[in-house]
Amino acid sequence: MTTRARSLLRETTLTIGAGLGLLCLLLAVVAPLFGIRLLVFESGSMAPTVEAGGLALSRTVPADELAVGDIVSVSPGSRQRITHRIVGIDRAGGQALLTLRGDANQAPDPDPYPVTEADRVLLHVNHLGFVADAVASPYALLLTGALVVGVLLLAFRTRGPREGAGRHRGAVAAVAVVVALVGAGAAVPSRVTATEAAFTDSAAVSASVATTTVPVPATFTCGGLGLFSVTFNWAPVPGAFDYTLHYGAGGSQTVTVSGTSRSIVAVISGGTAWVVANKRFPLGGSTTWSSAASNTRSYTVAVVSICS
Amino acid sequence: MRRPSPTHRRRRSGRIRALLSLGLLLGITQVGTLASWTDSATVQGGPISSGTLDLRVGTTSATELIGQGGSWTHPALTLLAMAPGESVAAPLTVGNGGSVALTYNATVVTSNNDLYNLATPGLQLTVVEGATVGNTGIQANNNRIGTCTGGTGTSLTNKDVNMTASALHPGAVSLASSATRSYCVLAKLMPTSPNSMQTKTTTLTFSFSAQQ
Repeated sequence: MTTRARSLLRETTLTIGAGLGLLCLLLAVVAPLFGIRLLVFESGSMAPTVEAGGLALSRTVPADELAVGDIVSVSPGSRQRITHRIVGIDRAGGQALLTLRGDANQAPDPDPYPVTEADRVLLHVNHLGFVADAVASPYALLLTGALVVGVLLLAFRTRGPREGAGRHRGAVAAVAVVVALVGAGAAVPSRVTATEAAFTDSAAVSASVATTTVPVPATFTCGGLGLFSVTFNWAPVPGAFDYTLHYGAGGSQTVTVSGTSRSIVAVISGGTAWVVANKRFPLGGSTTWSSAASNTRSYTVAVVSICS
Repeated sequence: MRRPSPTHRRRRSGRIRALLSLGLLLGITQVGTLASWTDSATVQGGPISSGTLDLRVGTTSATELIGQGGSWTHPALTLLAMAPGESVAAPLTVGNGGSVALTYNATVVTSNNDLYNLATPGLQLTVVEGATVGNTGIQANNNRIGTCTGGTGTSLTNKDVNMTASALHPGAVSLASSATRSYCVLAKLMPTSPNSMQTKTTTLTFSFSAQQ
């Protein structure tokens, strides 16, 4: 390698290292000030908008700035952080009750989330979550540590053979390695944890329940006519316990009949008549259900009775 | 005033840049905290799973409603011509066809209150988990009797179901991937059901909702 090329490599490495380092410093200092968070999507209930492994940048905003359609991240109590889309908002004072639903879910999350602020997703990129996850691993940290050590050596090493130079270089390297190890130690307990874009599923099972109908007596006819009497006959209803015959003016009088025929004997009178079947059931005890009314007949009882 | 030589300046600039690159270390450790936005599960290498969640239902095996959502009519719980005192039991199985464990609960409602009367109850529902389903009698004789033998009771025990949702379990229950839970569902028309409940139809709907 020529001296020129080596110098170019040194300059490039130093500049890139410094640039990334500055960016990291800014991120570390500025992000908490503005409520900026990085969200790693652990599952895919926001697909196809954000798939599992997506990375999102969010900012904490007060509840009154939230709107339906926003993707927000909430951390309800002791439960896993959820990042879903707002499908409904109920506001009360500075609080909002958010109904959230994952784009891949058909149903909203079961319980609404009461919030005073939420992390609104500003932008999201698929797959970058895997990178963030990898970057936060202790291996990546060791690698970065090694890189930083290299950069430090590059900048601080003294040129040319000089007494003590090797020891000096060794000291810088030792300091850098210690820094890297300490950093790794700090990072190991705080590995990346992720937001859960929880899946939901719903299933509805329906069943119809219909109750029985007591059949109406199929026929209701006029039987023999007598002096001050008229007879009514009707078709039996299977399983009927008894029948109720309605007669008189507008069917206002009733009589319970166990058979399927009944004569009305009266002084001069008339009216309308019909019958209903009453049924009891094997498991229903004395519960009685009655049928609808049969067809009706008009009648008059007198010296010459009439029925039609 | 002493001006630094160009060589000196370049070397100093190099050292400043090298020190700035230390920020990388800070940044990396910050990902751990900046991206640590959950309070519970600590996820280790390769935590991102595109798992699926699929709650299924069925009679004796959970083969219905594969995939998201949907509704299914239970064939054995389509009860025709129920007479006072009759009851019918039917199996209902809930399964997890997804790749991750889920928790679920269900509510039951009726489409109308035609068979609901607090004073003279009509339709009552009992759901027993893990019970044996039994049925005797026939519809034509109005003497059907359904039974759920054994098992563990749920919140739905002799429940006068109506248009207000009633929960199946007091809280959500868990179901591992590929696991199932079976229920015996007993629908009964009370012996004292009043005549006003004759020729009425209501639809029972169990709404299951599952979460990861």
